[in-house]
Amino acid sequence: MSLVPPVLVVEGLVRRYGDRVIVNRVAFTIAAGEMVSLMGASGCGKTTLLHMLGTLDRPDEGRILVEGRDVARLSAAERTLLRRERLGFVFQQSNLLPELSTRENVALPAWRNTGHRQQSLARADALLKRFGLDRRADAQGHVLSLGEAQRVAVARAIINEPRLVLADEPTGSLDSDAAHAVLDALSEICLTGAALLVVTHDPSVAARCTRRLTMRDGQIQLDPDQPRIAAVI
Amino acid sequence: MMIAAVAVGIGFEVPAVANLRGYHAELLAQALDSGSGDVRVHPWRGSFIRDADALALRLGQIPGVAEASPVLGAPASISGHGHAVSLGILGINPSATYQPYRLTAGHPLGDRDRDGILLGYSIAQALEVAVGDQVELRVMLSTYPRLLLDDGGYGVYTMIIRGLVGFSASNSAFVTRSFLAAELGDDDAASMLIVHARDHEAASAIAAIATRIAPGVESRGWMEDSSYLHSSVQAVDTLGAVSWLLGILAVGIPVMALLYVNTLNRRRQIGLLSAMGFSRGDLFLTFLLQALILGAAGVLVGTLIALGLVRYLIAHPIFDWQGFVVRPVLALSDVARTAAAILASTIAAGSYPAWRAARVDPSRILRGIE
Repeated sequence: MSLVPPVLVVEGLVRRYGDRVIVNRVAFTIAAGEMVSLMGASGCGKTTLLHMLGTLDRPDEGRILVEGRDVARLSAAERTLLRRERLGFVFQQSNLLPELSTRENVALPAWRNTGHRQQSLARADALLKRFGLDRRADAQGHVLSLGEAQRVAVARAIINEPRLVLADEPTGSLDSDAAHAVLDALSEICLTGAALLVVTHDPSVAARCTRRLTMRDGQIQLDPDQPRIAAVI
Repeated sequence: MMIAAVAVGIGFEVPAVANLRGYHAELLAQALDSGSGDVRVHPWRGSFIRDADALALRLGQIPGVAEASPVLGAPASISGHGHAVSLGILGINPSATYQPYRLTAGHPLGDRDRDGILLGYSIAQALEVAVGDQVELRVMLSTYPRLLLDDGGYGVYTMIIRGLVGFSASNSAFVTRSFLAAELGDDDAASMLIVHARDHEAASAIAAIATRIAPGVESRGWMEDSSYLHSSVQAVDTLGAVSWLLGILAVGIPVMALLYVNTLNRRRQIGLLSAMGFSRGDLFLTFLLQALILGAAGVLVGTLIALGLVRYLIAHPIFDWQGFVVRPVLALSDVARTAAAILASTIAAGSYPAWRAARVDPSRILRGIE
């Protein structure tokens, strides 16, 4: 039994769209510092699950505990605050706001969180430097390469030092070099003690994770090749 | 696009309102200041007011009265270059501040001008005469009860055209009252008194006071005496209000459409902002602020366009005929009211798209369902 307290606990999660069950009694935990992949065929419910974990969508049944707090018991304002302070998101593409520069894109969540623009921009600059993007700080989002844009999105996802980062196919539209750079950036998240759940189709991405979850028909499958797997139905 | 829509709206609205205000002002100026005055004082019986100068002095002392002038009218005919025209000739006091005409060519009459005449444009055209030409004036003096003339009641005079007058006085002719009164044999006679008020709206009240202090005459304000003019002024005001309202709608509806399309195009960004922890209130205010900033920029640009257009229209009036000139009258209150209304309509138009933005389901948007 791990002594590290779980950042995320999922119990009996169910999500239906009409008569169709998209996520069916899913349960697992993710501890702080863990890098967990979630694999599965298209349409198996990965993104729906990810959005429920990120409080963008609500489950029909089950519980989601983020750092011990049941998100179903939170008000809309508290869920917004949870997303802002404790969660980070990286999506597959179109992650950046085109009117803003790279540093402004990264600084935006911190600016909203603290109200201090200059401090947020300084923190954004530090993150961009860490990810080797400092020379692109003033570039608009739309002139960046896909790989650069995804690393900017990773920097933005962690600027408020979240406890859990949810990444939805972050390397899905990247070549292998760019994908490696993004994975390197994502890996750094876990070094800070945050947990990472990354939805992917790419086995090489899953291979870099400490644990792998596989979804099929809305359910988490036990994988005999993955002895470290902790997911249970 | 939205800045342009707002700018075009205010750029059109302000000159349109200024033109209508100018038309309103010119209508009153022509009909009252350069016409029959705000209060018209007629004799109860007969055609003439005796002791007209003394009565004019008394009426001039009524609060709000700028001037009271006696005028003397008589039936007449004018001939020149083989043509003749019948008309009513008016004798005026050349030194009065207000005259019942607007001089558009030539010079005004002198105080003791006995052979000068001012002709209306239409009369001058009919007679084919111009400033400086001679005309023959025949005045029917027998209308005045004290005169018994041997020549059939006509006085015949050779007059020199000093100037031309336009629009409302286009079918009239003017000589000095002193000349006409002397020919009638009564220096103090007048057909009517024209009373000019400092405020056109005060005409009815002044007429009521005039009736009290001068019971031997009938005093009527322009609103009662010229129902056509009154209706015209009211119609212009109504048209102005409707045009103004339509202008506001013409801005508000496309602005709302543009903001709504903008919201639709930004749904993914809205989803991203939601994921980043922006609340519905944040999103609503962000989109509303965007509408406000774009609206304010549009109002600023539009106001500059409007001011430029008004300056152009002052130099190049949209209507200029026989001295009736419609020049825009720019009132700061109109600019402020229009700018405020358009800005308010922009904010109102932006509220619905902003509300829609705040209601976007981030999960559906980010999954590409919507």
